[in-house]
Amino acid sequence: MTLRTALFSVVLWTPLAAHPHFHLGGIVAGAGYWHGGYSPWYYDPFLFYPVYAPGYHTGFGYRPNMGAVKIEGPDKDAWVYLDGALAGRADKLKQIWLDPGAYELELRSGDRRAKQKIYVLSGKTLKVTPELMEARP
Amino acid sequence: MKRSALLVMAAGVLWAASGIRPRGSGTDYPAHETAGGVTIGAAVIPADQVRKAFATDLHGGGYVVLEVAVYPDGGKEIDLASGDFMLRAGADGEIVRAASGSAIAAALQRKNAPRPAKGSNVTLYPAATIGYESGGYDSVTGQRRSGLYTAVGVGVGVGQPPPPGPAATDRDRNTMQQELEDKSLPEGKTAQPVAGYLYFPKPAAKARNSYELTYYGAARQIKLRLPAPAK
Repeated sequence: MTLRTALFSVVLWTPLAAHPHFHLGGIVAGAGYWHGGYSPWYYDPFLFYPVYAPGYHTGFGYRPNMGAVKIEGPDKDAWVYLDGALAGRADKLKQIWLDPGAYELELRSGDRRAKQKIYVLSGKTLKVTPELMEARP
Repeated sequence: MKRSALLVMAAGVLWAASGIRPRGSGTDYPAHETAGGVTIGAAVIPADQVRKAFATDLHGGGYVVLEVAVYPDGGKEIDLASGDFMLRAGADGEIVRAASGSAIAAALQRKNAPRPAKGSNVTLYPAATIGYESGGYDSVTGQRRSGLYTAVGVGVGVGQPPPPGPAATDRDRNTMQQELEDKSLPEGKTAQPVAGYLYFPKPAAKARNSYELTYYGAARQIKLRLPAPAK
């Protein structure tokens, strides 16, 4: 028996000592509350919560009262800047979630730059396309 | 002195930042007119373009958007104010003044905010019970009990207010106001061509076949007949 298995057994069986129970072959049945440790079958719906939040992997994940920005049809290699700070590559940032407010959105691809002020509202999706932007060589 | 000069410079930068880029000339607009040393060009923005150009839901909120450009002739300085523009919808429709960004933002936020339940969010559920009891013994008299019994009660339910809808927070109102003011026709003195949007309350459906925009800021009134945008 490895140390890991031994520790697991202690955690699993210790609570049963405090409550009435009986053995039936290899099966143990009894009454009482489980408070000796985490059950391997315990499910916490919020344990991996951020993993499932939309946009989590881009660094601009969804939270309540946020608005979405969809960047449609730009160069795949364009770099996206928000208020002058690098946000990521356009192909990775298909949809980002931001707090309500006004932002300077800039796309940089080679020597081409496109800049636009965007206004994000909670619960709404703003679609940004390069055609709406002014190209600044 | 130095501080006031800085304030004037800052105000100049803010003024220059608002509005949109004017088209090449007044003739580039569907409706244009020259009088009193100034040329006015205007166009009604179709609903689908309004949805693309604005994050704020102006069309759904009940506003019609006009793109207006002002071209002073020969560097003549003019004093622009959105209150100098009036819009008439239809042949004998009522005349409306342009709405400010702050008023529109406040109205749209109020419209999107969740409505509280009438009265309060506490609900009462009256209950009445009638039953027949048999068996058991009275603890005082020791006799067997039987017969009808009645009971009344009240259940109290306390509910949470509904969650806010889209664009219903205070930050949304500030953002909508900023967007509308950033894109609106710049106000103040200018000798350069300027352009921007004006927002008017939407008229009744039957009066939306044509618009007439009147500018009162020049030496004499300038009237522009605007065809309704193609749907």
